[in-house]
Amino acid sequence: MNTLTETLTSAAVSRNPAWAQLLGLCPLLAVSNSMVNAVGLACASAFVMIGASASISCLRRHIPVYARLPIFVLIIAGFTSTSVMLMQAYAFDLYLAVALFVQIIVTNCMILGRIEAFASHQPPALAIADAFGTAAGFALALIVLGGIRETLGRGTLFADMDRLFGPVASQWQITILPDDYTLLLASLPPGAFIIAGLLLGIGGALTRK
Amino acid sequence: MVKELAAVLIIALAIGAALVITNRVTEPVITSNQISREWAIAEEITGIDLASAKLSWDQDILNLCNGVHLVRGKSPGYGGQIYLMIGMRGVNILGVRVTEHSETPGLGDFIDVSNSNWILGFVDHHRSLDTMSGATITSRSVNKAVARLSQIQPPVCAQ
Repeated sequence: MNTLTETLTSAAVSRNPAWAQLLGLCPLLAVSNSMVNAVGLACASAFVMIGASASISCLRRHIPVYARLPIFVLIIAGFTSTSVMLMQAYAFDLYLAVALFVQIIVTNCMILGRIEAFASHQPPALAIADAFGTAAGFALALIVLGGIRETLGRGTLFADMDRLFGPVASQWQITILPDDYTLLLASLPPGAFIIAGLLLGIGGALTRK
Repeated sequence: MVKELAAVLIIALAIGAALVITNRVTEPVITSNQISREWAIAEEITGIDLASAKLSWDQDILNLCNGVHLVRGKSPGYGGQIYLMIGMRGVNILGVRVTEHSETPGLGDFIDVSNSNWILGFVDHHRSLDTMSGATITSRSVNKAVARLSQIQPPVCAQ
């Protein structure tokens, strides 16, 4: 049990895919312009990450070593396509907003990297713990960045959450800054680079002994 | 060697089967999502409640027979086809919406009304809108499509 918790927390915190390993930055920077997009991509990534890690870990003795990468990609692609179809069916509005980035989860180096380095050598329980931790770490990074960018860019927080959680969530929007406030830079990709860079710098300064 | 090949085959078949099943389950929901979205856009353009009327598209033209008609079409953009719907009252443009596109996020996606009011500039005007810098191909594609689709004559209404 101890190794499980350790795997989980180290994957989420000390080896956080986004801040410590700088993996999966393309979807991270592209999609994190609002909270709802960030949460949506985080859920889809977690689904693919956990599903692919678990199945590859179960199959690890049957996957030929020299053909492992095509098989990993095949399995990841299978889970990605499934999540795209599920999203189109049950979260159509969100799909319209993050469609492109959900489809490229398949090329997210964070997922392939963790599977190659960890899930393909470990029993399913540990692999799932690691996938869960990695996905949580990625979600944390997405949500922090999404929250900051939505606040700075549009002056709101949790806007359009009904795309993900249904009509109940349409009241969740918090308007932090005046209605007509926008800062386009924070919503566009350059803002993502600047804010992510600042967060990285702050994180580095805090953890340096 | 045979054993490994069999393993690869079985894994591929299992994934294929899972995809087929998911597709079968989700396809009707996805189709109905797309249709209701299209009707929602048509209502947004015309401001007319279309849900109660039993209407159907005839080769991408829908004549509401009250002087208003809708035309849908597509035009090659920068990142693939741009699908549009245009509403006309006689010869005046009621509104234009992009229903589906794959233009560059943050650069070419201003054609989507959820990102920018650019496309609202077509209302009541028969002119090309200003080209957005950095997205010349996208802007031109929409301008050309609107010019073309607004010329299409609706079929005559049966009395």
